[in-house]
Amino acid sequence: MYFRFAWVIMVSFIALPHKSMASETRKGILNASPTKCVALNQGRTCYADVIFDISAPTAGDYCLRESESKRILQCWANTDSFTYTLNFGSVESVSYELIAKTHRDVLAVTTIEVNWVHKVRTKKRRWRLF
Amino acid sequence: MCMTIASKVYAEPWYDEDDLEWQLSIGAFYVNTKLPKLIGAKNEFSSLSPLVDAKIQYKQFYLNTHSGDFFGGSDLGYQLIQEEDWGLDAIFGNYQIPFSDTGYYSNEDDKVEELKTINRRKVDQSIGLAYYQNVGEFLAVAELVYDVFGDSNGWVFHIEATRNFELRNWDLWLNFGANYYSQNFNNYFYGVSPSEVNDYLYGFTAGDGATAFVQTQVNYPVAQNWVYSAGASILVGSGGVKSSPLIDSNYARVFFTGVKYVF
Repeated sequence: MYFRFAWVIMVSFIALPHKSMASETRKGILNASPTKCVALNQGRTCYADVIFDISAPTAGDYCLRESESKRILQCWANTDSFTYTLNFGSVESVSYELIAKTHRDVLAVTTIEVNWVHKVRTKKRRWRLF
Repeated sequence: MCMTIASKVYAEPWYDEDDLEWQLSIGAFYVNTKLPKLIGAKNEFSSLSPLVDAKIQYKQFYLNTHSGDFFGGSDLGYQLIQEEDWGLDAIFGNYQIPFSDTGYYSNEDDKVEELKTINRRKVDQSIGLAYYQNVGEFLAVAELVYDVFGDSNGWVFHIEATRNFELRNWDLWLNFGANYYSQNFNNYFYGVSPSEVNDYLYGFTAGDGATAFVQTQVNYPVAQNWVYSAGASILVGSGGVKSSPLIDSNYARVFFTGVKYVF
């Protein structure tokens, strides 16, 4: 019975990443992978290597930047497709946008969601039995 | 009228919802445990087992259960004083694994020939105080408990230090410390009374005892709500324990690995 229960847990666990991966493969102008970063506890910095895959409709000059701070991550000249790897680290979700360099028009936005597993941080952890 | 009263009762629970925090975890863990060897009895156990754990905090009370990692057990406490760098809790817990004439776990089928005359050693039900102090990056703990509801009439003094390393999204938890068991406590578990003497066991009065231990655990969030954990724990007892005719070794260790879903 223990084995059967364990199998249900294991199968669910194996199946889970596939579902989230499927949603990440939809193509657009600005695609990020992964789009979710999971930390152990609320308030802790979550780290991930996020790959931005950009496919612009026409060749041109583009920049990738943080939506809120407007901080430019990188710009590309006279091209329509490029990738960028971000060493992501944040305690909260962050949005990124692709802009056309000349007019500063926002062409696409994507968000890296920061989630956490534990709502309750164990204050005490006492030693166990012998 | 009745409807009004009923809805009012429903709207006002007996507890203050803002002060209640809880978390439930279920999972599956492989655990390999090797306990101090009781003569003639099985002392190594391996299993792939379900895990159901709860963390509940309400105001100053807390209850944490651990069914899948290390040696199991629960933490039950009340935070008497909580300052920035130190704290004092009233605690309830178990400090020794029980055993009987079937060995460590009562669900074993057969009586062990060498142990067939012994009385059941019930788990201690100890109550006492725990003092917590931050020392640099470590959390140091000293506990003094008395077996109030158990049968040993003994006490245990426990000290430990813990440090948690955050390595990107990984947690690496290190813990080491020692226990001192009073003569009554140690003798309850490892002494052999005249009525228990048989061909394998001679009468024995155990003195006080001590153990030292080191433990480590890693945790990693593999996906939303899913955590992978693995850990190891090693404990060595003092020579006094080993001199008991009940015991062939004074060494214990645990390895475990598994995943859990956190609600």
